[in-house]
Amino acid sequence: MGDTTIIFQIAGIGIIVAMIHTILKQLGKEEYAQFITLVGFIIVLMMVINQLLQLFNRIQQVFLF
Amino acid sequence: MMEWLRLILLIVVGHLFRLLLKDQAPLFSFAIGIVVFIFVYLYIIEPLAHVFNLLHQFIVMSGVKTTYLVTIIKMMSISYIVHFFQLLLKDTGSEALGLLVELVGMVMLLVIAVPVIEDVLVFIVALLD
Repeated sequence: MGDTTIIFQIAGIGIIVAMIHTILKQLGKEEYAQFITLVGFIIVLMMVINQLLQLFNRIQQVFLF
Repeated sequence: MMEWLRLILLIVVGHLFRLLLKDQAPLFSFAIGIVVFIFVYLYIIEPLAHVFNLLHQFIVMSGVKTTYLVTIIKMMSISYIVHFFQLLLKDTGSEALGLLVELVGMVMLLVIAVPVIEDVLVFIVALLD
């Protein structure tokens, strides 16, 4: 099994981003809150894309393309 | 030996994280879903690779053309990939798109199967002559 810490990393980033989002919303800075969520999601998406690339490379190796 | 149990626990943990993040950050819950899928598929591909290697060795030993085995393996790979994306799309709530992926997979299976069908037909014609 691969490195499973990535799930915990994504969940951690998600919780922190949700917290910052709530705080900024309480302070009345709606646009910053949206921006923080976007940046967090892009970081997470980069991690996910690396994993997906790994899976597709393995599929190509195994299934003799 | 008990590695699969860890995998199931990982799926459950992923589910708990998704429950936690569902209301505050739905995008992150989506990302966790994808990562869990990728882990499961990366795990179950290893025994498949082992089985395919063994089959390939048997076919090479028996002296039959390996093109048929390659066709079968390619078909299995298509159903594997289609299943992955179908589950992923169903998970994110768009079952219709999952059915579209299935349609694409079915057409591709047919295209791959055509040379084998052609071989069978040629054989039958040769037998009849």
